[in-house]
Amino acid sequence: MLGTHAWANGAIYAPLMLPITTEEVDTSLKASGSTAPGPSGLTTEAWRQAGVTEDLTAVFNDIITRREWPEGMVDGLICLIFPIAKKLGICTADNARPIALLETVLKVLTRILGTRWKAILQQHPVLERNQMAFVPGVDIMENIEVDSFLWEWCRAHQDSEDGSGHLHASYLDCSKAYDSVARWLTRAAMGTHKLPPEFIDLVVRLDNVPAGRQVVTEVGLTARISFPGMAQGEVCLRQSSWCHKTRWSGGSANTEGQESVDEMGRRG
Amino acid sequence: MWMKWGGEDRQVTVVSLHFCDDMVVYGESFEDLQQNLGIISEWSRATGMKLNGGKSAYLTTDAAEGMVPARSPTLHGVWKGGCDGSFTASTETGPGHLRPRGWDEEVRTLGVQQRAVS
Repeated sequence: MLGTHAWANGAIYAPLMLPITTEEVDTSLKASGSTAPGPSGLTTEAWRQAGVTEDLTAVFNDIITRREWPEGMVDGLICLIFPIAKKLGICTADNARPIALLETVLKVLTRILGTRWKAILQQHPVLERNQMAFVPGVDIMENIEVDSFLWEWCRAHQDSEDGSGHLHASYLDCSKAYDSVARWLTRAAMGTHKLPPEFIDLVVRLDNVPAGRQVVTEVGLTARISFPGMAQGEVCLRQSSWCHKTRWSGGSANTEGQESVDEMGRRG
Repeated sequence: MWMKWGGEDRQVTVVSLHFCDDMVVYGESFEDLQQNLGIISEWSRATGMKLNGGKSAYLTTDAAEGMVPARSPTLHGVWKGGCDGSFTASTETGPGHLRPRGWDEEVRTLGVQQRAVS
């Protein structure tokens, strides 16, 4: 991501901050499909049925124009912590990962910005060519095919005298890759690609909530806690912060769970 | 690696492949791979990205390394000399060492199973 290219040019990102149209909101609402809703329980289908596309467009354009998230929208970013089982079986404390679910309306906006960004990347291939993710037109199969081809070629030339058939490969595992990326690095990577500073601020602030996020658990209790990493997706939390110590399945609430969440609130 | 392209023999060098946080790093020798891993190691040290050597894997087609490689490259060491520098691997055994896999041992990577010998 940090690789620079001579053709990286800030001008290509101008469409990122253009006013959002009702068509974009409509398309994003449709594309969001049946994604899991946030604490309000409002699905994208509910937003579609409500017929508030124009109102949403006005709110989104306000964010784009003022280039900052409205008061409370980020600082009090509400998410739903929902545990799912890591491996097949009961969702207990040692077999669960906490997933933060944001309000669908926020995801509609980030999808619009993501779609715009992808369209730019499609026209201007500024990403490193050995990074296949996020690049329109290519997918993980490209990597799989190159990797398989390398092994096949080296197996076929294994006995060559010049040693050209010797392949030494390492497959690396990143621990909590998205949680451990520092904000300065996100800024540096985006800055290297000459993205507009206002857009960078918008993106970085989405995950920068110093006062902590207001968390709603599925048992209906709220607390304000801080956790690193992305607002949406798997979050890095101590198990005691969000889950029963033993034998708690995701769907059932009891006294033990309430105590755990209350403790979480006091700490936060 | 040499391949025919446009009617001509051309040399192609693949150093690494990436998909989000999934990484495959190659070397034409053990030392070459160790040097490339040194670059990754230094990068992760500078950025705070955590690499898990124990969950990572090392495979090779080099028969001299043995059916199950007796040694494995490490992510621990010291980088000296700036961009043109070199990596001195730590001699200590520990979690920084990639887990060596035997020729017929499968490794799940990029969503598929891979092994050194088909």
